Amino acid sequence: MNKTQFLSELRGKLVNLPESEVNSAVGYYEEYLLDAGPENEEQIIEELGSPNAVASKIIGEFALSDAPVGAATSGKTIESSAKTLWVVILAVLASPIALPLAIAVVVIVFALLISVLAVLFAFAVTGVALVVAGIAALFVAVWALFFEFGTALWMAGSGLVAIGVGILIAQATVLLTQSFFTGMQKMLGALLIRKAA
Amino acid sequence: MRFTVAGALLDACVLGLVSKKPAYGYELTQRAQSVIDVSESTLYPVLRRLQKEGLLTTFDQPFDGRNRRYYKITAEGKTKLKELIVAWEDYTDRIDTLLIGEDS
Repeated sequence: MNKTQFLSELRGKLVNLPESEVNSAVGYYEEYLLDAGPENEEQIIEELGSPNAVASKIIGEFALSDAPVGAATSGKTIESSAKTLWVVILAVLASPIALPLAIAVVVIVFALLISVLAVLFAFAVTGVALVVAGIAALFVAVWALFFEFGTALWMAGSGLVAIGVGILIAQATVLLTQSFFTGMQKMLGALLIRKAA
Repeated sequence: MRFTVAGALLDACVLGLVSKKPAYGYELTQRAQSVIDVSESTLYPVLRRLQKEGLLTTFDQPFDGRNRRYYKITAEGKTKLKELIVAWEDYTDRIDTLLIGEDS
């Protein structure tokens, strides 16, 4: 790995730190390699280890330091400690186990989402089926009217019950679906705002 | 074997190193490495933190068509260093008591 590669990879690994931090660190190592001289460059890059390892040290120290970072966060201790927590999480994510772990988390979230949607779908189908069956029962009732008055009444009654229950289930499903989607929207929104901050 | 220099002791060593005269990153690492075992990537995070704590400050000086960033101790840093030296002497006395067994 040459100097340019090392520095650009280091910059990439630090991308979640404030820009001033990134520039300071990358500037330091650029200068460091220049001061070491081109003849020592390769050896020093080897001794430094991977850009990932160098970045971990910088991120770790940044997360531990209590001093406010930059003018943007000074005076807002809650915000800066939340930021610190976020940086620690990101540092953990940057480690080698992070990718499989992140994939697992995504898959689990996706599976949960699918399950919820499947349950909602089942509710909707049940509602519709009940209404359809109810209507069918009403037709049977009309037909039965000509020879079995009792059966006709029974069929009409249970048909109406089925339609009523079906409509109630359908309404409940619509409400559940709506609140599920607004909930998802809020969660995603909150995540995006945190990312942008 | 060698004892590891890390944490507060490393902070103190870096402060002491910079207090002698302002120096740039590579120079500081070389000087530290001539005495103790520190890796190439150890010093930067420490320097950056000491700088944020107001114990060190930096200034740029042109060199060879570019800028060199020098680290310099602040007044606050000097006070802190004095405290650390006292703490270190106290600490080594205590360790000596355990290690060598002299009564102090």
